[in-house]
Amino acid sequence: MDPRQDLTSSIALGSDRIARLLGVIAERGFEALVVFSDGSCNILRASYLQYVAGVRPMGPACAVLLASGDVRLMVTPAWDAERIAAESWIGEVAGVASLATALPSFLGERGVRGAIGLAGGNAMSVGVYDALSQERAIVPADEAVEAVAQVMRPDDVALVHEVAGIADVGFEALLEAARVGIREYELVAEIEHAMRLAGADDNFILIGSGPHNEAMRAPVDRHLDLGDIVIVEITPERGGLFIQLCRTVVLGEATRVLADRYALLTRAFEAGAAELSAGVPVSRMAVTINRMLAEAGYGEYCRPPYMRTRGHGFGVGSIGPGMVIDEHTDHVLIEDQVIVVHPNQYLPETGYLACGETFLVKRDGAERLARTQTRLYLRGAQPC
Amino acid sequence: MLSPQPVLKLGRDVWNRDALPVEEFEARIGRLRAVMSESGAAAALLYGRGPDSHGHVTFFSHYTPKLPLAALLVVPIAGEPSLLFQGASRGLPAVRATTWVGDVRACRDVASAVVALLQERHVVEGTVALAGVRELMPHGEALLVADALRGARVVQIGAEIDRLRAVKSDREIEQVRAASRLAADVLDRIATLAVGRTGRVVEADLVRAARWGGAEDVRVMIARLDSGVVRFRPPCFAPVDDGRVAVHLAVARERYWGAVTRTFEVRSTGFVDVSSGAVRVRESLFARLRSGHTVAAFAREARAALSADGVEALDGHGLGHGIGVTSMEPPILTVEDETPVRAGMCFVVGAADVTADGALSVRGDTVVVAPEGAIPLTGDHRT
Repeated sequence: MDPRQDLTSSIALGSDRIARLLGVIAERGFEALVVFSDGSCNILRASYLQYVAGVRPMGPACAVLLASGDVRLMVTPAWDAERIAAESWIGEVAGVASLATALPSFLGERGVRGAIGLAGGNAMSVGVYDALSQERAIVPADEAVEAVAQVMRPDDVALVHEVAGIADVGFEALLEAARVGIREYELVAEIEHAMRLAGADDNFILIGSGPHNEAMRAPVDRHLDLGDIVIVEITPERGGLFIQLCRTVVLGEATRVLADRYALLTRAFEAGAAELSAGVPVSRMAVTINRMLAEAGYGEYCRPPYMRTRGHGFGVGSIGPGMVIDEHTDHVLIEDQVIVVHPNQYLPETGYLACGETFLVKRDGAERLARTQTRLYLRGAQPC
Repeated sequence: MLSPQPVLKLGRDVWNRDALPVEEFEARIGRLRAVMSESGAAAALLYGRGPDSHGHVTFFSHYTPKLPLAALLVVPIAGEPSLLFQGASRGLPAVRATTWVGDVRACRDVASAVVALLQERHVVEGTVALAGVRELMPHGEALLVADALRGARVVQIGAEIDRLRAVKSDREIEQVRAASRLAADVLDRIATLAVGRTGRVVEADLVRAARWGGAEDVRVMIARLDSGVVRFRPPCFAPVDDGRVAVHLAVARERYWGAVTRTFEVRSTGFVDVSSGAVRVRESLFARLRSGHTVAAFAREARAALSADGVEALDGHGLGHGIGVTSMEPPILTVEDETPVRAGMCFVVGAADVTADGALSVRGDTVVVAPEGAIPLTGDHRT
């Protein structure tokens, strides 16, 4: 059962979010808060509009929260307004042909002439931004929505666990389907299918396969072969929230070198994850992982292009650390932040390896969300 | 038809060099340079973004952004193009495997990267042609580019490129045909699905079948027809267990899209295709979509003919639109568009018909324009 069908709960959740945002508007002295989306859903950027409206548009759209308490959702394409109205907790929904015309016009009608907070504005195109800013001062307000979202409600926490469960289903599908002969894109299709059936709205899956991988990427025609190292990022999305598993599976037997190096990554992962706790700088996690790898002789591999980041946040309220968590990330963890820790790493003897999980930061530590373990998985090599 | 943008194009990602060899892209660049020459442009900046708005970049480079991130192709009037993509440097091997462009650069934001590139190439003066920058680039980045081009004369060539992309080469038509057949074949499989499933489960099964067929992107939209109106929506958690539904399936394969819409009666035995009831739609639209007149003239004529037959255009969705490296692209089949219809254009066309039993039936096909009218690429064995 889709929890969003529970209308009462959904409206209560939405009303709470909007009430808190109206509080921000009053506190910051805005006449209105405009929350914009270009219709995309980005794994590394929070969708503020989906958080505020409880629905994902297809094209450019925005919610306008007026200081008076009135809230309007404006969406493109106009024909999608009926769906949006049925799915959103915002009652007033308008389908419009162009936000560049409709948004300033609405603000004008409502007498908004002063400062406007703008969340999600970094995706706004020139036409809409110019039209909006012509007669009004625009104040970036991403952090205002972030601050509100950092206070998680029980429904928010429940969603975190639901999506984590979907990620486990995806990984189990990988273990079930991975075999000699299957093509990379067919394997990804099976993972995606399992997670859709488990309730994912969408999925982010990267893969690499072969005896020595350079990176994870979109799937290609390659058939899996005996001895292959299969690396995957499995990341279901639901309600705008992503949860990630980074896993490595060997078809057949693992070499001793591979087993040793993966054990090193696992120890670094465990040690890094142990640093997660509310009030602790997130850079400690990266420092710990890098120190352990450096002590094993891989210090020079703790930077691009051999790795990208030791982790990042997921979802509105958790993106504070930014797209890259490294030794210099200036961010102190907050309770209920959703953070993935992944010492995904190229090592010269083994190639790129995937190793990581998502955590929910708590007052004294962090809750591991995955049911499946982080370890090197071996898969029987029977052909398909 | 617009549909929700995916988080990631996570399907098969290849460059089929037999189907689209380097000379195909060199010919396209040659046509672009002819457009640039007309305005005296020393360089063209073609911007694309995300899973739906990358058309210009993909058409000339074969690269497509997988994420909702940006890419920009810099084409000098002479010399090699450069491809900038927003992403990590470890993504370079995968990008290089799917583009003929030799100079590929990873960057955090394409605006800063292109400003640096223009300075490196000394093309911040003279005339620079832009496409997609004003329409799609986030305002902060667009300001950066505009500032760098203060000393240049800027010309907009987006409309010219749209026209250039609209008429497909023979190779492109084959790519659209392959994608369209995949879409039609996958939608055929709906007949094998058990009833009582939710829209989401139907979607999951169709997506899986399309992925096994090599789809890099798949979009499913469903409209319940019982209310007498056609309102397509993304699949939801409600069961698809009785009544009449229209299913729209669009599939991208090796960069090119094909789309098909069929109507099904959901019975206890399964999904039964009742699209043949919409054969008048096909007759009304296909024969009229031929070279020699404008899109507007076609739209007027087709709407009048549909109306006379008691057939309706799809509310909100119109008669159709172009299709190619993006699922929806110009020309849009409206009475406002004066683009001449030319042989080689590919469209998705569709409409709703009221069948003899008084029920709605929606049918949509991907077609290519030929002198005698439109030829379906989605297969016609179900008509």
